[in-house]
Amino acid sequence: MNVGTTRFLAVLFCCVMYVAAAAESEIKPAALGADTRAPTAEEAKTYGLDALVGRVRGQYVTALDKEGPAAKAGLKAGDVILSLDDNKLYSRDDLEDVMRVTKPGASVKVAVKRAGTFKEEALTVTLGTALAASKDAFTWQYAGPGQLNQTRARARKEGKLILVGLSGADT
Amino acid sequence: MLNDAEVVKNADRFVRLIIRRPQAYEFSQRFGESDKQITMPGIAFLDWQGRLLGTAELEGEGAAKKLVEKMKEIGR
Repeated sequence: MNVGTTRFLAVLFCCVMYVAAAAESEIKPAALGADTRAPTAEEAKTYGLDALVGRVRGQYVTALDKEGPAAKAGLKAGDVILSLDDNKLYSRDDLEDVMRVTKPGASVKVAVKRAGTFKEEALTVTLGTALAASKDAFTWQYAGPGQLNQTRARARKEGKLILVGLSGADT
Repeated sequence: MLNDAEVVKNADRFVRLIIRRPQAYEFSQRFGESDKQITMPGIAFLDWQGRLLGTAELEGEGAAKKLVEKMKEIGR
């Protein structure tokens, strides 16, 4: 192999590694495969949903991706998702926060109130993959007070402090 | 505001948790100083034992700059 060929292969190798590293630097949030909205006041009463400071707990499932993670786990339109693992949901943002900090492929416990029976059940959903977000952005690593203990454990392990973002936005 | 370059640069010193309304109110009351709630939208800094080390606001003029100063001060 001559010097020119060696140099070409070296440059080609560097290009391949750069592209691979760039792909890895994207943060890929998880996805549930369900469209949701806040329950109405009537739904809150019918399903027996709790409220906290005037916000009804739960996300009402309006539609599902047919082949998506939620559908595969047995969720149906009309179910109300109460929590994902230890995270109680009071808004769509709460749900999306959990997706942002959870890896695709992870299994989460989903507490739901079922359409029709209004009884609480537990399902396990293996999350899919959403569109990638940019690495050059402020990213949350945990979502919700249900994850405070894990946050503290990680801070202790890594010798870091904890930054808690408190959002007062109406979502 | 959180995507300000200096904020992003200093964020690696911290493990980052977000809490939204309405649970943010409960958190603010639990960890707020004496009888005061932590201003929202805002940031609370804790150590791994859950002790409040400081707070920062996320609105108002110069909020990003003040947040970065607080992040550097607390993270020292």
